[in-house]
Amino acid sequence: MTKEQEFVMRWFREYYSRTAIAGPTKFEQREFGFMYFDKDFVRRHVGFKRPDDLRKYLVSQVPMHVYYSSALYEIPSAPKMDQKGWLGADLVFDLDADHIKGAETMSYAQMLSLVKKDMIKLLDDFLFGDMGFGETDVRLVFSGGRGYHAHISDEKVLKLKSHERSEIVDYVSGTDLDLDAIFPKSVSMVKDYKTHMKAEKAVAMPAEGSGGWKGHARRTTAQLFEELRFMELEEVRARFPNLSRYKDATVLGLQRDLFGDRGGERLGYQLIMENNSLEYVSDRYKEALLDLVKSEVRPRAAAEVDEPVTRDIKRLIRMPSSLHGKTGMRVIEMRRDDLTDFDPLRDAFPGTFPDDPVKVHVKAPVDLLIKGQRISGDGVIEVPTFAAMFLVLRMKAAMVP
Amino acid sequence: METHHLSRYPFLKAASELVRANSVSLDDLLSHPAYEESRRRGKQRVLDALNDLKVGQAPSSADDVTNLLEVLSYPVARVLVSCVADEFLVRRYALAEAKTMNERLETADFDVMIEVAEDLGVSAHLESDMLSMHFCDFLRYTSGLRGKDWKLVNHEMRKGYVLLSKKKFGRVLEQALSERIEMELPLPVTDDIIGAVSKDVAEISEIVAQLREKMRDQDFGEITITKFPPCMKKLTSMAEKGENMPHAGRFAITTFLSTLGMPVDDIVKTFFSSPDFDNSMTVYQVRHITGDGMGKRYSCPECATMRTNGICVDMDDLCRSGRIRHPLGYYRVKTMSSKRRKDEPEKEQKVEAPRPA
Ligand code: SF4
Repeated sequence: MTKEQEFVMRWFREYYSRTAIAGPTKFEQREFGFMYFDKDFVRRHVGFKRPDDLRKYLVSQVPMHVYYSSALYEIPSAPKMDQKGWLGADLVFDLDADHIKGAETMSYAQMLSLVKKDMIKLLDDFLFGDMGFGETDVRLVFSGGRGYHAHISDEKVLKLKSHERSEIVDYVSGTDLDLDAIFPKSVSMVKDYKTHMKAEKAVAMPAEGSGGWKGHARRTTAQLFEELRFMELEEVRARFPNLSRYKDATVLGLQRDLFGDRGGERLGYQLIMENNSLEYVSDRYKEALLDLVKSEVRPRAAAEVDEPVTRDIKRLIRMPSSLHGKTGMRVIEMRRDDLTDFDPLRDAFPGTFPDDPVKVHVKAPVDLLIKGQRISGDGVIEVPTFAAMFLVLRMKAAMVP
Repeated sequence: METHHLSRYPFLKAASELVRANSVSLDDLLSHPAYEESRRRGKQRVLDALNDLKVGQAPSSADDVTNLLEVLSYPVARVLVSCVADEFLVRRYALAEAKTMNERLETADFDVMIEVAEDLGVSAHLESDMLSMHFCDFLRYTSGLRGKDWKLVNHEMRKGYVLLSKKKFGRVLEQALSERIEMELPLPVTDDIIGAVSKDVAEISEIVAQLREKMRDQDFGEITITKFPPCMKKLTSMAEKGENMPHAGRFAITTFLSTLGMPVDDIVKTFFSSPDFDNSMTVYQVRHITGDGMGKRYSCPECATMRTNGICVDMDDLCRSGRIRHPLGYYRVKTMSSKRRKDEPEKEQKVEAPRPA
C-alpha cells in the first residue's frame, strides 16, 4: 500500500467510525456497490439487512466510493439483474459540470456555482413548480464531486418505466418543445391586393398564470423585455446573435415599438404582457421579436439534467453521507434553503478531518480557498489535513516521506 | 346510486357493489331464467368485441331492473372470455370495452369523467372546467401514444397535474381501462362454471379459431430478424404479440420492411393480429405508406426522428457507436459484417409471420 493510500484510508476510516450514516429509505431493498483504494475491482450486488451492517462494512473495508441503487429489489444481493426482482426505483436527477459549456477552463468554484444555478432551476421551476412535489418529497444531495443529485421516492414515481422517465427529462430540458403552439398564430385580417390576397397573422402569447412551459415562456419574454429595454444596439448585437439576420433598422424599430413613447400611458411591451398578444409591435418587426423570444425560451428556462441517469432504473448512485473518493468531501443531503448559500469547498469537508498540518509535495503550484483558508504554494508545502486529503485525492499532491 | 349510469359504466366499483347489494350469485347469473337477458347481452358483448371492437349499446332506460340486468352482462362477458382463455380474445375484448367507454364518455359530464378516472386509479382534477390528471398517470398510460401531440413537454402542467382536453382525457382513460381488464382476465374458473356456459364458449372459440386461421405462417425469405436494430425488433415483436402500436411505430416498421423488399401482403399480415386491426384499414394504410408501386413512397424515418417519436428503444452498442444514423444503416452494417464473417456460423432466426399468442 502506498503512503498516500495509507493516509487517505486512515481518515476515511476515522470518518466512517465516528459518523452516523443516513442510509437510503427502504434500506433492505437496496443494492450497494463499492470501489476501493486498495483493490482494483468494483463490488456490486451487495445487500445489507441493517444500517449497522453497512457501517461495519465501511469501517472495515474503507471503500473509496459508496453507491446504492435507486431501484428497490426483492433480493438486492442476487448476482444477476433478472434475479433481483425489480420493485420500483426512485426518480433521480443528476446535474453535473460535464454538461456545462467551457467547464474545462473554469475553476472548481465557478463550475459548481453554475451547476448550482441549474439545480435551483430544476427544483424551483420544475420539481416544486410544474410537478408539484413538496420539499419533503425531494432529497437534495451534493455529490461530493462536480454536481448535485435530486432523488424522489414518492409512490407515484416508483413504477415509472425508462421511457416514461425520458419523457420527464424531455420536459425539464424542453426537448421537442412545440414553440409554435406556445406562441400561436391566427389569421387576423385578410388583405385583398389586386394581384393576390395576403393574410395578416396575429401572434398570441401565453396569459398570466399559465402553467408549464407556457408559464416559462411568458417569464422568459418578460425577462427579455427588461434586458432589451436599456440595451444599445451594439450590446443587442453582441448578446443576441439570433438577431443577426435582421437589419439595424429592424432592431431599432423593434426597440422603439416596445419601449418608445406611443402617446398613451402604457408602453408597447407592457401592452403585450397585459393583453397576451404581440400585436403591439408593427408587422415589420414582429418576426424579429418572435424569433428572438423563441430562441431564448429553452436556453433560459430548461434544466440540463443528465439523461441516462434519470432514464436508468437500475443505476447505482452515490450514497448520501458517504465520502467522495476523489475529493474527500461528504455527499451531503440538504434542504432547498441550504442550497442557496452552499459552498462545497467551505462546507463539505467532514469535521473528522483535522486541521493538523501535513507536509505534501504538490505537482504544480496551487492556490485554493478551502474551508475559508488560503492554500497556496509550490513544491513541498505544509497544509491542514483536510486540504492535504483534497490535494492527494485529486492527485495534485504526493505525501512527503 | 343511479342504475342507468352504472349500466353505461359497468366496470365501476359502484357497479359491483350494486351487484353485491342485490345478492346475485354467479350460479344464478349463469343459469337462472331471471338473468336470461344478462346472459344474452354478455355474450353479445364478446361477439361484438370480436367483430367490431365494440360491446354494443347500453339500454336507455330509467328502469332499475333493466339496468341491473345490463350491469350483470359485464360479469357474464368476463366469465365467457375467461373460459375461452385466449390471449388474443382477452386483448380484443379489453380494448372493445375500453373503446366503448371512451365513446360513452364523449357525451358525459366532467364529474363522470373524474369519477371514472379515480375508479381506474388515475388521480384527476377538475378546476374551472378544465380536466387534468397527475403526470405520472399520464405518462403511464400514454407510453403507447408517443408523438409530438402526446409529449409531456407540450402539455400544460400545474402542480403535477397535466391539463387535457376532454377528448384526450378520455383517450387516456381508454388505455387505463383496457390495461386493467387485460390484467384482470382471465379470471379463475371452475369446471362448474365452464359447464354452465359451454355452448357459448364453444361458439366464441370457433370464431376466435377462424380469426387464427386467417393468419398463416409466412417465410420472409432473406430478411433476417437478427440483423434488425433494437427498435425494429421491438416493433416486430409488438406486432407479433398483437400489441397496440402507436401510429409512428406502424409507420416505421412498415417503411423499414418495405424498403427491405417485403411484399405489401406480408406486411399486412404482420399487423393482422393487432387487436384494433381493421383489415381494410391496415391494407389501406400500408398501401399508402409503401406507395404500392404508384404514388409517393415514404421512407423509413432516421434515428433522430425515431427518438423524437419515442420508438428508439433498447439501443445497443452498435446504435451507440456513432456509426448509426438510420435503422436501415444498422441493418446494412450487420449484413456486411456477417458476410465478412462467413466462416463463423451465425444463428439466424427468420422473421415469422405473426401468430396469435
Ligand atoms: S439508434 Fe436508431 S437503429 Fe438504434 S434503436 Fe434507435 S432508432 Fe433504432
